[in-house]
Amino acid sequence: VQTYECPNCSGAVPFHASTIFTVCSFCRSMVLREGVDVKLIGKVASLPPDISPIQIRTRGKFGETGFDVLGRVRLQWSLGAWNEWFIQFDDGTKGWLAEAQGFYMVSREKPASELPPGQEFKAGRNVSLGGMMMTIADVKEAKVAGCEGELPFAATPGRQSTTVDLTGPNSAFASIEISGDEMRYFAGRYCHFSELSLTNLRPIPGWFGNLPLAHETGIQAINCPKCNAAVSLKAPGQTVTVSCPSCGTILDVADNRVGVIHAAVEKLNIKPAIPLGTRATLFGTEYEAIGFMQRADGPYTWFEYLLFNPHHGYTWLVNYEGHWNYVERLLETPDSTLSKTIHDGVEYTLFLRGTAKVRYVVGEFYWRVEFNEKAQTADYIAPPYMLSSESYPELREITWSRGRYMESDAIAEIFGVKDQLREPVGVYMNQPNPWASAGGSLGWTTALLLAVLVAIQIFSVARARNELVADKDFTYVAGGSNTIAAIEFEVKGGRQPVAITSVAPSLNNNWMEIAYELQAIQTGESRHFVEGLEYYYGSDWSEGRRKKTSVLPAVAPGKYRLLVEAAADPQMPQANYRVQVQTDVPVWRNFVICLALLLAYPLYRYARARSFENQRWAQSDYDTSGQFVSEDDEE
Amino acid sequence: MNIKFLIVGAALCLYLALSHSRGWLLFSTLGSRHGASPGPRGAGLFHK
Repeated sequence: VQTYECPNCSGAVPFHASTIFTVCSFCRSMVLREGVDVKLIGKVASLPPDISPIQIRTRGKFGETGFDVLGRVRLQWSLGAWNEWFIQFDDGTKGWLAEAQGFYMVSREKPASELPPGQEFKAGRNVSLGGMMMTIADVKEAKVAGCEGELPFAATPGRQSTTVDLTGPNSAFASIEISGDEMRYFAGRYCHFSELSLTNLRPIPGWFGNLPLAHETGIQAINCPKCNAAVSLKAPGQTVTVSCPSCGTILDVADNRVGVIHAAVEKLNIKPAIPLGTRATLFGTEYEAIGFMQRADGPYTWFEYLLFNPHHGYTWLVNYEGHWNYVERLLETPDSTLSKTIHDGVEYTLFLRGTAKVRYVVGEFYWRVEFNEKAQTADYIAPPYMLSSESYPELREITWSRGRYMESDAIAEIFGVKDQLREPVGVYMNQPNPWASAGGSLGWTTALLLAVLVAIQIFSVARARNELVADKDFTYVAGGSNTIAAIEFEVKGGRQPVAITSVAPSLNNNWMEIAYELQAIQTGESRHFVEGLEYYYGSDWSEGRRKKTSVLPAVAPGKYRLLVEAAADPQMPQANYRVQVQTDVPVWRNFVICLALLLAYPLYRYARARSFENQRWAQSDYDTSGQFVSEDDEE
Repeated sequence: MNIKFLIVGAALCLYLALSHSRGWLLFSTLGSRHGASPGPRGAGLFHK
């Protein structure tokens, strides 16, 4: 660092090797270095107050390389302003840290010769830069509104340039600055605040433990040109649109001259459920609700809250019919087809396309809110997330954001508005299905248990001896003695089911009843049951059965005597019947009951999950693979 | 929830294995035990 004397006030003005221009911190003179001399080229006014957390001598890191902030240029265009912070890396190279709308972009200057020759810069066009396909996001005329610190060029206020911003895959960012005949090219990428590891930040009043300023001397206050009421800005330097809290007029504060965008919308005096100014911590970051708008697509209306943090920028809360989404703008453009979009390895399916029009606003916004502008929207879902694109055909600008479904109760708790939020109605497009198991774990558990159950059954059936231990014929004679017959057999092994089969093949339009008593010969323990056989038929019908089997459970091993006594239709003079005894028979009944019990819960969950998904997709014009479904097909 | 389901399912598998080894029949009261048969064989025979 070389230090010179300010030609105006003799104060010390330092110059790094990479800079040729500085603003004297004592007298705000613009000092230009030419060879070994410095010369005065005028004075510059103080920059208007803004909420940027960055200041001269802020230190940060980009990738593995540290950097120091040496200077700033504030650039202005018709719809807002942004900061370009000049940074010097520890390896001696220089770059820029752009700060706009809560986004940060770090870039290094590249040789302009790398730009494709004869390129016409128009928003929406694709340009191949450094082997990467980039899209021109916007082309704007900008001028220097002010500057401070050291810079590598003379950033005199009013200096005009055309700025072309390009975006590409993996958060890639590039900027081309055309000033007169000079063309400069910068390439880098979007960064999250936290990854820049910034230190020596400017204290922001009212944030991060710093005391707020008194209302009268707030960070920036303006006066409403309609009613003269004071309008204080929560995010000066970034806010472009603000509503007057007194008369509701929508004001444009983009270039420090307050203009009227829209007269107050009196008919729609909507009170936000989350009052503006409320602060709450969402996913570890404190945000303040600074803007609220109602948007509509035909008869459907929803509310959007703009949340702001001076370090992390802007996020949204979107509320439709009691359903909430926490929405973050994406730094990159996802890979998208007509029906699918992939972001961070997650596939999203097209759910809705529509248009959105602003109907009501209150608070402040970082862009110029247009009431009659229609945004084309597309929503892709992968519950609990959704990806939304908004495009403004006139601006040739497409923005992508990712929403995350939030329970109404959680929002109420976080923002301290319990009992003030309405209950959600129906199923929202990215509402997680409460009946679906996480990662299909219920399905896997069911499959595993089913496999075990089937294995046990197969093993047991294969192991059953199914041994025929008795097979005896009897004759029933009406009015005869029909003395009790006995069959003796042995049950071997452990306790087991014993099947007794009764067959009366000659039953014709009559019935027979066989009473059994099974007696354990050693213990005298007995069991009894009655088997009823009947068989009736006509020319084209029949009912009843001539053969039936009953299984006695848990028959202990040992010797048994089975007593058999028949009774029959008194009209039947005689009938033959047969009794068979089988030990250790295979049993299916327990398996069927266990199977039914096992599947009951997963099937119930599955049915509820399906019904939930049907409710979800009933609101979509597309099927679950993102293909358009015409109304006729739906019927 | 899945843990509870896993426990219930495992219990069902255990029950099935036990029922096979013990000869149980779920929901069967057929030939429920009578205790020792009194008197001469056959005296306890049930008639409809």
